[in-house]
Amino acid sequence: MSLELVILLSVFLPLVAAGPVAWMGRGLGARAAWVALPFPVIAFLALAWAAAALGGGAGPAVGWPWVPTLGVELKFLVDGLSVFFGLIVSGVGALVVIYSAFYLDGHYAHHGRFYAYLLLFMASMLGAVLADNLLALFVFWEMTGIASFLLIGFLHGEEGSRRGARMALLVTAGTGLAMLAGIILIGQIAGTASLRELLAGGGLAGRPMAGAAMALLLLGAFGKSAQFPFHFWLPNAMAAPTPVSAYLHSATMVKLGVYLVARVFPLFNEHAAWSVLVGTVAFATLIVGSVLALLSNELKAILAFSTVSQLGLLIGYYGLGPSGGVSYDYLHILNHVCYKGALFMVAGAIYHATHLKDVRELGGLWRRSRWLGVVTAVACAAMLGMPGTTGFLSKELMFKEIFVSPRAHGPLGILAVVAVVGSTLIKVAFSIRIFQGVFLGRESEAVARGWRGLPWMMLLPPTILAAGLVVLGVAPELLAAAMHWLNVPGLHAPDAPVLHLWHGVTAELLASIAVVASGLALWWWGRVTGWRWARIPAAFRWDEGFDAAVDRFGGWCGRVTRLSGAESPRLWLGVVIGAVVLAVCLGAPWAGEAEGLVRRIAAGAAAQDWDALRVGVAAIVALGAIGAAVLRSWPAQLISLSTSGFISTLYFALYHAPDLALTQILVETVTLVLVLYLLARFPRSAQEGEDGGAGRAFGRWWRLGVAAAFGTMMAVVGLVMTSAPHADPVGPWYVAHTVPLAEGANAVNTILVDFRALDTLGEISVLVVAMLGCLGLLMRRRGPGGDGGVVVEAVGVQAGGPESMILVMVARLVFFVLNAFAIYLLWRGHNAPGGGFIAGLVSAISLVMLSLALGWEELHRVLRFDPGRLAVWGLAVAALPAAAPMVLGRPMLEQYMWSLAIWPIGKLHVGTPLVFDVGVFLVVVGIASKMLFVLGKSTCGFRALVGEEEARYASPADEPIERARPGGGGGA
Amino acid sequence: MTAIGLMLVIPLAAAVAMLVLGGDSRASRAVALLSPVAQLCAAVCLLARTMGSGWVVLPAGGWAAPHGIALAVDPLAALMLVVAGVTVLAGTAYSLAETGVGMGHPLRLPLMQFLSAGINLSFCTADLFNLFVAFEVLLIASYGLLTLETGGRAARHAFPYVALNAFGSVLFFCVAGLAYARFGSLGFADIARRAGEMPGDPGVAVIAVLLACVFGLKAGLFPLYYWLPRSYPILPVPLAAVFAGLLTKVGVYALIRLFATVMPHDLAGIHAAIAWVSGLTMLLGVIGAISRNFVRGILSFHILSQVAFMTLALGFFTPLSIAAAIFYIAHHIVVKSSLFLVGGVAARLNGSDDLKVMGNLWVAAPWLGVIFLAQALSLAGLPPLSGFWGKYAIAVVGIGKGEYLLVGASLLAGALTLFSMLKIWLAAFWRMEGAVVTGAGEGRTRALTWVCAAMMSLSVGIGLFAEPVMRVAQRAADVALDPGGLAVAIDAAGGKGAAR
Repeated sequence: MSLELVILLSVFLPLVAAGPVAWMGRGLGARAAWVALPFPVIAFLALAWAAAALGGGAGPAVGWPWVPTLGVELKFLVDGLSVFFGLIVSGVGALVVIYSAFYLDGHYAHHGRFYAYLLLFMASMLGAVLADNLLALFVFWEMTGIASFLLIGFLHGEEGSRRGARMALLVTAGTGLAMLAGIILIGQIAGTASLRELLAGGGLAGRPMAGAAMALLLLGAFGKSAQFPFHFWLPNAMAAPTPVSAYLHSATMVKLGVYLVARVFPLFNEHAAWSVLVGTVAFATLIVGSVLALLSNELKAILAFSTVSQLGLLIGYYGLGPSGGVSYDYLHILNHVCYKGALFMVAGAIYHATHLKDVRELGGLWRRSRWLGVVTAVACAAMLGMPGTTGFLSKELMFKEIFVSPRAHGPLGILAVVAVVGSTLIKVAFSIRIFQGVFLGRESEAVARGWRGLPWMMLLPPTILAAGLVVLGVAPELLAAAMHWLNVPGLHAPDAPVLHLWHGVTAELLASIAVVASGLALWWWGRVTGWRWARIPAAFRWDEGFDAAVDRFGGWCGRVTRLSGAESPRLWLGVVIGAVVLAVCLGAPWAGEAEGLVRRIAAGAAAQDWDALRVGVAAIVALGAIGAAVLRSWPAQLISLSTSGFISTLYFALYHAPDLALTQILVETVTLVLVLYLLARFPRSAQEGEDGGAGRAFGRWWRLGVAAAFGTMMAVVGLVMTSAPHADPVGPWYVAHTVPLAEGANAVNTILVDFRALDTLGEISVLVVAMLGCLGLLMRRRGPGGDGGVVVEAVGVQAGGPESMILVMVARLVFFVLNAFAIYLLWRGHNAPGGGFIAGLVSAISLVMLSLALGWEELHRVLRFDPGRLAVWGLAVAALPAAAPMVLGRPMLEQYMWSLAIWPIGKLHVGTPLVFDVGVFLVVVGIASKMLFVLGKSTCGFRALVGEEEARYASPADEPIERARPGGGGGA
Repeated sequence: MTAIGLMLVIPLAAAVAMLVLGGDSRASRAVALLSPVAQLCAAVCLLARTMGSGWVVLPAGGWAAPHGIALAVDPLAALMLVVAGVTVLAGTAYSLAETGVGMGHPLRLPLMQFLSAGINLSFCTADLFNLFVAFEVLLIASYGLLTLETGGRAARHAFPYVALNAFGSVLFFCVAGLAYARFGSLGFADIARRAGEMPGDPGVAVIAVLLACVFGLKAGLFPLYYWLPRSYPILPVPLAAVFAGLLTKVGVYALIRLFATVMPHDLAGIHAAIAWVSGLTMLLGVIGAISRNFVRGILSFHILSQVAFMTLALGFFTPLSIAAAIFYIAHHIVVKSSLFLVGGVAARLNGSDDLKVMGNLWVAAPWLGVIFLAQALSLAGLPPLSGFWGKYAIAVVGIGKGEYLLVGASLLAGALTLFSMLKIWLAAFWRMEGAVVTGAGEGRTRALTWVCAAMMSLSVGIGLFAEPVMRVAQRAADVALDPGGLAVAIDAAGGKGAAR
């Protein structure tokens, strides 16, 4: 068996198995445990093999590349430390699965999910402790957090579970992010993220930024291991089913922080801040945790706080460790894993049998289950450090090492001594309280009423743990040998640890006796006072504070969001425009040198033509725009704006651009007609414009300021940019090459339909889409949700056509003449002003004239086609020359010209650009007339869309807005 | 070369075909589904081509740039086309699965194809004015889609969207004019060359700033983002997914293209400004998300926060950071649109997406829960999901550059994202009070869940097999950052009128 196989079996097999276990669990119910059990067992055996193969030295790094471009490898480091943790994780995992099989009986649901989470957790946990690459470690680290989140929230119907899960995830993932920053820093300091290489390279203490990296990394470890001030999440994680508490929240996951501190011990322990940071936090946690445990009454809460304090002790042990290495960390960890795991399982068994959690409600269980009592007694004995258990060894050695620390660490050492002695004393008190309160005394009524019995198999796992405590406690040489075998250079002192059952009468022993006696006294006092004072003061209910802060956070975010303006649509446009102005002012490099700017503006101004006509035209255009902004009533605004638009035509004409001028005037015409129809749909009161109240005065000035600033900015930028135009613009090229290359004399048209036909293709798509969008807007939702909509009041617009025969005749004549002209414009467009766009607009205007004569309903009846379809077909026609060359493997839109000899006209050059232009023509005619039809008809009181059109442009859930009109319907 | 043309012709042809077929018929549904599949195939081909050759150029109409419009695709553009194809495909599939034949709005799918055409053109074009046209196509389609099926008072949220984006269009148009005045040409390669020939010219910086404003508005950067958070929630679910996935990312793409390929690389001040604006945006975005109490509202506000990650990476302006931005875009589009889809299924089951009424989904729809969880944690950037890698790379670059404050902001934004996702998870999935889970239309719900599952497997795949995606992103960043590459490719492509 290779190490790769060990990794595959221990990390990836359970990871992969989680899914199938969840799936199978749906049918298996509580028996799903037996499907899950093989995986921790396999992992344990594989790791045991790896441990045996270690031979005392540091193992090699094995694994696979993952994201090498980011320096992330799925490499694993198999050495004493990782194997030690791995064995604990998989071993306790197997016991917990067995235990859960009986704990999670038929009263629970979703067993498959539970075991899937458990396997996910175990795999992640093994991955984290075995990882060599720090990034891989981080990945697995966060995965354990997610698994823990899911497990805490397993009973998610309860509010407490959800809150506990949220708290745990936020604290551990949040501190995890700090750790990520620390990992990145380490990578940049040392140039590698591989633990193996880092450890081989020696300490990082002397490097710059090493302190920051260390602090960030430790932040992650403290969060995960519930160190002060993050201690509050762990007791709330007890909302999880008890097997989870036993496994994740005492034996394994919370030890990840301990693991990490041990891992980086050789890297940072010489840093000046290491002892201070680790020691202060850890020993503060030790005190806080044990005091809170003493003040708690729920069995699981006592155990949870005691776990917090013990984690502080384990981490603090590394904090004060000499630079040569520590000796007995494995002993302390193993001791805690065994007794705390056993006690949690006992607590779970008690809850399972009685549904009671509070020590005060329990009592007299000794008569119900002696076996449970014995296991508890052993575990409690180990917790308080009675001889014959590993707890004794752990406590004596801890005392021995801690008593010398004041000499080495000064005040910090004194804190350590006080914390260790004080917490041991308290531990003695609540250990006895647990055993005495639960098993001795009179059987409480609640127990008598609720006792449901215990399956003996459920007691097996805690018994195994308790047996471990005793066996290793009685024969410590076994443990010493194992510790020597798993020795990690750098972390552990080079000399082999020596463990004896009896150390003789030493200072530690005497101190220990004194502490136990004081603890007994404390317990006695508690018993005498009935533990009435055992209540956690509000100032220490940090979990409640956290929850309250989290709940209030949403409101705070709402306030910030309101402040940022995101809830005030009136402000938006002004803010956006203002931001653009500001960005240009700050970003422009000439902002500082006013002189240069003035010179450039002057140069730009000088480059313009300043004859009276141009100035006049520009002035009228500007006046029109100002009028549109200042005037109140809609028709006035429209006229003002149209003036601006029509006068721009002159501007184009002045610059010798007849095509643009023609287009502009036609577009203005059609737009004016369309908008007038739109206006007619609104009641006169709305047309008078909004009533600007007194409170709006500020808004008005603000908008004026923003508009003025933007206008000034654009004018300045425009003048500056044109002050020195580029010497070689591409524009003249088109004029020079339009005849030889594009075979058309009208450069504007050849640009539109040939050189840059892709732009035109896009723009006619825009037109078609705009038409469709408008048609969509004219519909409203049917049914209860569809309130609002635009309610059209009946307006007095002439509905039918005029009766004058002469007018009809003239209109028909003009219609034909205009359309003939349109086709002529289309045809000649390639060589002279004209083209599809202009022709389409002319044709559309001809329809407007006809409508005036015939009325909309009659016109629609006469024409008998849907102009919307015409537009769509137009797009198809225009797309044809775009797509056709591609069939031949040529670039899209490539032109083909043919010379046709047609008698009597002579030789004709026609080509695909003409086809394209015909498409443009059809699109423009179609859209303009469709919009005119729809708006015109509906304004005159007819249905905008006839039946078959409705299916084309509206969903079955829509109806045309006209139909909702009170008393509506066709006819005048 | 043909593939680039196909990216435009397929959606246009599909839109026209659907409009000609008329109505929400079986045939037009088939066209709607086939079109994104075909686009996806073409885009994958392009990606494969460009990974090898760098730029692939199609001179539109056979006219050589800058007189004609060059359509040019590099690995960056090709990757965007692929992801866009995936998103549109998912949106279409969801849309089709949601309603029966003949029951949907007949214009929704055609307009989506137009939207797709506009998006594709924005990725393909190498011409500033043509980019304006592309923006117009996608914007006008988005205006149509926004109001198409929105009735009642909700429609008023469409107005600021249209107004602010119309302002953006006007500004873009003006800037295109200014750029022509300054550079005498609108082709990307020409602008790059000519801007490079005038070092320290203030005009270059001004045009860069103005274009950054235009694209920043599109991307949703503070304080230009107001059009987004209140308008997206009024969209129908599949459209919201497509909008959320793609529209802002077009802006981000344009920003990357602008600063990497078109503008000189010495605009350090502007890059730094983008980074700081991004830092602010990512916090404001996620704070806004937390302030919302309905799924689509939360997700919409989040878009801003995530977009800011990409622009933050752009602001750092190193090859690795731009690769990270590109990776992040690919991840984000998939994750974000699928979250909208998941939210849609959840709302369908609960009859609402208001967190106050939702609940019970972890029991009633566990698969949906798994999908949501994977995507939400990915959004928050938890490893080993796809969101992690981009954030990690950005943090690496930031710490390397000593931008500790910005890296801190990005990590904080990640934590707050997790918080907001927890809000949805706890209320909609874990809470077991009150909410009603309807069993109606179970077959449809299952089909919709499959669409979500497909998107999830894609994003999980990106996370677990990050290396190939990262390589594409790196290659994309290298090609995009090569200043002369585009010009060389355009010259090599030739065309009529090439000799000047």
